[in-house]
Amino acid sequence: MEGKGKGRSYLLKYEGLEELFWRLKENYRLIAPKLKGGVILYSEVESLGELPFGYRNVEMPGFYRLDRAEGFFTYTHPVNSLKAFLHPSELTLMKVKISDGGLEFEVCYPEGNFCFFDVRACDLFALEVLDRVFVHKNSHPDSYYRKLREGAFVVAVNCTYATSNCFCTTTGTGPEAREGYDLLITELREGFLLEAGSERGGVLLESLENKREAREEHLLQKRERLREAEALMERHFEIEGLPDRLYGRMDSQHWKHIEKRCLACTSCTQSCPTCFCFDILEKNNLELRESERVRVWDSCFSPAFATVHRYNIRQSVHSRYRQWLMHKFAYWVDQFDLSGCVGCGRCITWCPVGIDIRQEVKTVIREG
Amino acid sequence: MLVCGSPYNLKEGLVVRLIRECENVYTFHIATEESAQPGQYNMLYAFGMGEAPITIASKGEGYIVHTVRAVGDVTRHIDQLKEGDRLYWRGPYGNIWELEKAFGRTLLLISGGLGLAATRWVFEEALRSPVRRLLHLYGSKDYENLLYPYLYEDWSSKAEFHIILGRSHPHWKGRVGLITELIEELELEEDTVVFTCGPDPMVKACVKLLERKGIHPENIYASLERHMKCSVGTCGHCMIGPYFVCKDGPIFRYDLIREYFEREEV
Amino acid sequence: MRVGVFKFSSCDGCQLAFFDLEEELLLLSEMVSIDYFLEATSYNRWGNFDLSFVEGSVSTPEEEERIKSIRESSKFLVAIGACAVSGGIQSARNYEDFSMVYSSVYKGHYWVNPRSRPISDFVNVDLEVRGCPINKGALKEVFVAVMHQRSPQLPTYPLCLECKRKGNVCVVVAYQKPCLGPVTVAGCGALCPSFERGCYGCYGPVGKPALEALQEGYERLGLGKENLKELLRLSFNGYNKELREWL
Repeated sequence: MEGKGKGRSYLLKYEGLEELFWRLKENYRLIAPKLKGGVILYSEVESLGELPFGYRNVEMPGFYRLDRAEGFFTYTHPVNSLKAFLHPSELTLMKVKISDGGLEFEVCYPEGNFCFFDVRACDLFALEVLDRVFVHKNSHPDSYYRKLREGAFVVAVNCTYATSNCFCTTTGTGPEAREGYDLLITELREGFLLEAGSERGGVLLESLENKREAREEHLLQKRERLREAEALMERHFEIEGLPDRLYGRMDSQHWKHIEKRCLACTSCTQSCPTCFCFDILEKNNLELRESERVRVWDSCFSPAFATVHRYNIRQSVHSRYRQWLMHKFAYWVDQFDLSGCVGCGRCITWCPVGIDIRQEVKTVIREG
Repeated sequence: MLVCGSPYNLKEGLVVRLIRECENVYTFHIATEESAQPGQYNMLYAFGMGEAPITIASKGEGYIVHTVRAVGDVTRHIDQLKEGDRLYWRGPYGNIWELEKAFGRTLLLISGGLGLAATRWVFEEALRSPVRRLLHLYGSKDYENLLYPYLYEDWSSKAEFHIILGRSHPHWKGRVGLITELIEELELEEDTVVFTCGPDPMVKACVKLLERKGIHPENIYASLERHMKCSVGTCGHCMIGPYFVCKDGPIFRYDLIREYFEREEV
Repeated sequence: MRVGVFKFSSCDGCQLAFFDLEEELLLLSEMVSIDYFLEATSYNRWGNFDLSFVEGSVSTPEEEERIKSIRESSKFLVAIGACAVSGGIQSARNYEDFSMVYSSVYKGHYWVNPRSRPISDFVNVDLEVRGCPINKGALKEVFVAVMHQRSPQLPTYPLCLECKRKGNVCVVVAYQKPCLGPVTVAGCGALCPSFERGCYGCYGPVGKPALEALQEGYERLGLGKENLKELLRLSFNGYNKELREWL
């Protein structure tokens, strides 16, 4: 491995980063953060210059704004997440046609071949979560997800900044990217530190022309830069043992207090990089000769989500909020051996009325 | 052509026999060599309508049995199938009744309404197994909705099979009342194993009574019904507490599910 | 199958959704018999409708009678659009002094009711198709559903879900613009938020809309209770049963 380059680190200037970008562009569809309508969104990009270098997202509960800042990777994660690419919000699973008195099925697979460029630690962890949900912890692995995910090249970036909604130090998912990437970038004063996390990442890194060997001091600088991000986040609650504490609070009075503020609008679940729930619709043409089976994002806040015999088991908004929070922090651990929350804070930012899940968790476990 | 690998791929089988059970309820024998076990279910597909999870009511030489009540779009269309028509489905899914646990002990089956479809097969298997004593209680809301009347004579001759109706009928000579009345009268050993399937309130009432009669919830198993779309633990609709009813169930040991099943809106 | 399309107090915009079906309209006309549709044809046959679409609100005594006779002649009655479903923009007057409104519009004497009401205030409605105007996708869905005996798959969830599926950025959070999305039913394809504008609520309220929570939450956007009420009253759906009491 050492010889192939995994584990070795290099220092790149902007030209080196561009070289890397073009090399990846030769083989992949590049998905990276991009400035769009005053926010940063993961989008397909054509050049490195499209990345929102020098912009800084300012986030508070129910609030988002962009400022300017000195440097390149000055922002955190984009508004949307990689879920949008690996578990598309609307995906045709198969087309069904009537033929010879029977049915003919055509399974439709989407095209992937992604390189996710500039993935932060929280979203990297979200990839691991989705991998487990759809494939590794699923006895019927989802071939659609797998088709999009397999072979995806991941370039991670260490965060050197955090918004006031970030809480990855609480969930233990960041700000340092630890696993699940091919290459890792940390922006230092004199350039970009690149580390390989996989063999193919190492091979690519070795083959770059514009690079020089990184020294011990660069790795120290990396630690310092990560600490800059860490210092911006407080620890909100102890994640260790949280499921058990929450299981004891199923009847907390606080759920009803949340109902007074919650719109049940589904925004939190849709913004979440790990919320995977979906519905399957049947789309027909007028003559009903053809039908498409379409998978669309759904939400436990939807009014018909848990409907049995035309009656939704979760009538009240507080029961839906409880389902969401309990699933994310407690049920998820039982189901997939890890927490469903990656500490990105998207649900806090994108809640139109600014409900802060960190506060709700704290209150539920404190007040009971 | 079916491309390998999609968890939503469907299988095809012929309806080889069709039995009208009652108003809006039909039983289908579908030709297949697929293996399945009592307690499992299939996702039946109706073209242009979608899928519905339906328990496998029984299995014979080269066919499986499904009993379908027309309550929604999918089931209404499936119920229009005729003998010789093709039916599409995927499965089997879900866990199975733990029949071995009842070997050498008393096995009590309790079913309400269409829940009989979920206990029928395991009852048939239990008849051939070393269960010491076999009881089967079945509650139906009325005479018109009795399921599988053509099997009762055989069942009654081989095991203690009792029916209770929600309301009386001129042709009905048997009991009228609630299924709990039948349980009340039973002498049961403490290690009796119970399998039940029926509407949620029925299951809750039966368990309460059984516990009073000294039966431990570890020995009670309930087959639950929840909204299912994918049946493979990914769509999230059927969750109850940390469980996916589609793959961790549909059968749950009662002491493990009680916390979530008995609490409102979980 | 005999189909009727009827107009009450409205702008005719929802009826245009039938023409929006374009080539599918031709196919549809072979599959069903459109027997009554004043906007489309001079040859109309009244009575025994299997499927009726009603556009517009009930605003006059004559309309009160007419909607009842349409109901009696129809097996399946569909209210199309905000006017038929909620009373329409003209129901804004329901919250005003009627004599003032009346005298500012009419000089002479006209038979106009003090209130513009949804047709469900008078007759039983089998299905509501939301929107101002409705979109052709929903209309097609109704035809498919009725012709092939299945329930129509029309959204009951809030616009936010559709907006997020579309990949839009929330206009409330990113641009601090008031948006009725969280209390409005989906179906329009999140048209306004896709152009960085707040939702007007033309598809009408979701079931049990969280109005108090919305009002409290939007106060920081400078949207007081009266402003929110104003927005909802002018949403074309202000007189919807889910909103009336709160407004």
